[in-house]
This record gives sequence, structure tokens and C-alpha cells, in this order.
Amino acid sequence: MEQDNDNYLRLPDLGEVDEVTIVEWLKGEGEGFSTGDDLVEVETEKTTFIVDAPSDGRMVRITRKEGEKARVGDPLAELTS
Amino acid sequence: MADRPAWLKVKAHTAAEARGMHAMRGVLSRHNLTTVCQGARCPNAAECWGAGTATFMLLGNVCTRACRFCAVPTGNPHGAIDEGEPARLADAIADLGLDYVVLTSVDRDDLEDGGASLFAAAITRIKERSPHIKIEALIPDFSGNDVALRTLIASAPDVIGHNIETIRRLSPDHRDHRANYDLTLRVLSHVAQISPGTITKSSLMLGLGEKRGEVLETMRDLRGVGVRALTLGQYLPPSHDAAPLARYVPPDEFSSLASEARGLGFCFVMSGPLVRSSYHAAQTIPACSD
Repeated sequence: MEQDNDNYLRLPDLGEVDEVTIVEWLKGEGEGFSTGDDLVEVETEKTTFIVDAPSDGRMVRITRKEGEKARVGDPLAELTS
Repeated sequence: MADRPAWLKVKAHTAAEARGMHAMRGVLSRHNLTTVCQGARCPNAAECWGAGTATFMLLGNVCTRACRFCAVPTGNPHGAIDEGEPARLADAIADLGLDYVVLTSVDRDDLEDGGASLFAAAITRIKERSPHIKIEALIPDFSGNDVALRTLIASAPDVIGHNIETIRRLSPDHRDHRANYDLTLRVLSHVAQISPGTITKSSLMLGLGEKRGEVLETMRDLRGVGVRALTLGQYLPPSHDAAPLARYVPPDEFSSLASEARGLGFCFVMSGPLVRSSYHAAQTIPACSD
């Protein structure tokens, strides 16, 4: 997955998916993580995707909460790296 | 929706897969083509597109049938076909440099030959443009029309697939009334008789309410008509209107059924929760060539 340089974790291109629902955040605000750690689960009608960490960093603020919808490219959380 | 089990969760794509998807979308859009990956909202789209493989759908994106497990829209195209489709598809496949493709189509009960002549023309054209390519044709039943089936076989795809979809008891509940279990077996049997050198393949979705014994019976029925390659995957309803899910089948059941299938003599078996009928299809020929 890729992260823009604006320090946001954005919903990556998941293939043939328009919109997802945020199921569960696997790291909380203030928590640190390493590259490849699972950060958030999102789901479509058919599939649950796990979005992982693009680099080492820390979760600053979750901007899309569990149960909310997101589209490809939407910011899900603010990160530091 | 019931909680999805851990074995159905997939990692969001890697950067390489993202580039593959982007490239594939560009080619599809430039040539005005459709993939099943898109129509079926397949969970493996990122993985397959990233690896440069795809299942192309011919004859439009509207199906004359209304199977309850499928997301492809139902309608009547009133005989409309796109004569340029075979050439565009052959160009796209050459552009992508693919060495194995799966071609399928919607059901076209509005056409006398069910679309077989256009399907065959596409295979012929692709082989002309990409002489070394291997082609898997995942065909409809052509309403049992033997002439149409022979037209398709004459274009000489390397693998011919026709999906039985579910066990005998559940077929009337989930497949369109024009499709049925025995017709599917008859189509597969005819392929094996007419062209014994062609690998025949079929696919079953699990989780619709079938019992293990019924799955084994279907596997035996398929082997009985000469089918050599089999895929088993978890049914995932593509929308709220689709046939409801009966249960999530655990990975160990898929493994156990794969062993049974190999014991019955299938030379290619893909069995797992996220397996779809074209998943890792390029391995079919190596697995069945000995």
C-alpha cells in the first residue's frame, strides 16, 4: 500500500471496490507501529481487507471511525513517520 | 452480515499490485473490454491483476439468465453483438503480453448459437496475435446446442471449463431455470468426447447448504464425464439480493475435499475459501500434462 506525503493513511486501491466500511482499528491513537503491521480492517459486501502500515510510525488521530464509510483515497488516519 | 472468519480476510494490495491494476485498467478502458474480475467484484482482483492475469468477459456485460449467486446484470440484449470485440481483445492481450488467458462470456440465449461463433472468433484471433498463448475457455451451456459447442471446440482452446456451480439438489434453487445439473454434465461430456485432448474443468461453490456427501457425489459425476480439473471455493454473496450464505466452510474442509478430489483422479485441484474458478488457472496445463 502507498501513503501520500501528507502523513495520512489513505484507503488504498482495493481492486473492484467503490466503498468500504471501517470494521475495526487494530492500532489506537498514540500507538506506534512497524512497517507491515496491520492497522485497520475494512470490509465490502464480499471481502474483508486488512490495510497495513506503509512504514514505521505512530497513529496520531483516527479520522474515519469504526462503522463509517470510506472511498478509495479517503484519509483514514493521521500518522507520523 | 455474520462476522467474517479470519481466513476470508485479505491483505490490501502491495505497491506492485497497485501498478499492475492501474496498467490493466488502462488497457481495458483503451480497448473497451470487460473482465469478470470487475463484474463479480472478485476479492482476488488485486492479486491477479498485479500478476498480469485476468479473466475477460465476451459478448457484453448483460446476461440473459438470472442465477441467484451472480452479480452480472440480467437483461435481453436483443441479438446485439460487437463484431469488433475479438480484434480488440486480441490487441489488448498482445499489449499486456499475457501467456495464459481465461475467456468467458455471459449467457446469450437471444442468439441462435448462444454466442459460440463470436467466442470462437475471439480465440482464433488471439492465437493469431499471440501464437504462444494458452487459452482457457470458460463456456456457457449454449442451451445444449451441439453445433454451437462444436464451433467453439473447433477454435481449439487448450482448456474448456464449464461450471456446475453447486450440487444437484441445490441447482434448481440457485441457477437460472434454463441451466441445470444434467445439462452441465452433458456439455462437459460432449467436450470430452469430441475433443479428448482438451482438458475439461469445472467449479463448485461451497457454503450454499450442501452436505459433504453431496459434494463428493458431484465430484464423482464430473469425473464420470471426463472432467480433469476442479476448483472449489467459498460462495460469497455479491449483494444483499443474492442467494443467502448458509455457512463459511473452514479451510481444513477445503483441504480434505481437495484430497478426495485428487483421489478421484482430478489432475488439477484448487480448493480453498478464496479460490475462484479461474484462480491460478495458468497452472492447469502443467498439472494435467504428463
